Amino acid sequence: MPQRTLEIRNEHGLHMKPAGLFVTEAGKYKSSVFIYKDDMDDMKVNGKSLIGVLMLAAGKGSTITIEAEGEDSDKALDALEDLVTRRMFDEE
Amino acid sequence: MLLEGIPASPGIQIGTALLFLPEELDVQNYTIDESDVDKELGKFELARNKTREELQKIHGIIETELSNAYAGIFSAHLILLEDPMFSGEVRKEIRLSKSNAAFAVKNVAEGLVEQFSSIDNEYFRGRDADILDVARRLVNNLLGKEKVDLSNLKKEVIVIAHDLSPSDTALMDKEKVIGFATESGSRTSHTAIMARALEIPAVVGLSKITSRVKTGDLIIIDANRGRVLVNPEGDVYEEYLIEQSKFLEFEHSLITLRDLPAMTLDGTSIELACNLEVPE
Repeated sequence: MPQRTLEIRNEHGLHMKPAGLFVTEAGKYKSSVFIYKDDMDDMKVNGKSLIGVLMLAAGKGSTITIEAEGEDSDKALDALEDLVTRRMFDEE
Repeated sequence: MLLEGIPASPGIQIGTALLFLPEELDVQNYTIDESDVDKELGKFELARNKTREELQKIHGIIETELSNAYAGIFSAHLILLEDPMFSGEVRKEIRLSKSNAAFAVKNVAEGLVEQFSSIDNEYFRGRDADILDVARRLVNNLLGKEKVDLSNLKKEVIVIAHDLSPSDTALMDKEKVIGFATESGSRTSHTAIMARALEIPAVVGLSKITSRVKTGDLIIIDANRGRVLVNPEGDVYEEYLIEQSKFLEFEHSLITLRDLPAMTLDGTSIELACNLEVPE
């Protein structure tokens, strides 16, 4: 399954605002999106659920692995990688 | 009486208490017939629509009046309303357990709160308050209840509550609320964030304060030391009046200093920058 592993670099991690941006972006794609923190692949959460993403409690320095499955999985992963890594959730 | 708590927003305030205790929502545990499932799902959808409209309205008002950061909380609530782990689970429960909609909302919300309670990090753990806020709003709309709020206050008060949600404070009469003192909460809870945004003193974590204070009591909030005094003695009151004016003078002097150029005695310019620590 296509996936990306990315580092969370913004100051307060995946708090409300970035988490909201993440799930809003993920929600644009038909593919299913799941994410897990660090190496905890037994605790995957739905990447389109704000509650799920908040439950990860991913702070600065943690990594998230995003898995996408579906016809637009590459587009989804590209967009999410852009949000997390290049745009850094539009902070700073 | 002296109560110790956690400082949430600095300052000293003296005023009268308003005990704010929204009534417990009367959600009943009854099941519905198979044939009524669609109707119940329809009720839930209507309540969601009404809740969405309310949240959009509040978001609009706050964005203009207060700040984008605080309005962001309501953007998040709008997203929660669509969340598969929330609304999706509620619909499942209505369909599979034949719960009535209000009970399903309450049940799902409480289950999520339980999951959040095991998160180590205080900020993330405290987000359960947002889930509860949206859930309460939904249940109010399902049961057709009027929401009790702080928007119609006749005089200045210090609000005493068990907790203050974003919804409780969103449309609050900001001219009249001069301080907060709550039982639960932390430095990252909504009470703290709101108090700091309004620049009013607040202390949280005050054990059982709602059963020890009644509306009309004289309150001193000493947020610098994390204390609340209820109906203090005359001499304590006098001391605090002095301390309060000193603190206000100090804050005022800081504002005056802020606009002066930052320069050392030998004329070197220094740049003063600031890192905003608190998310939202």
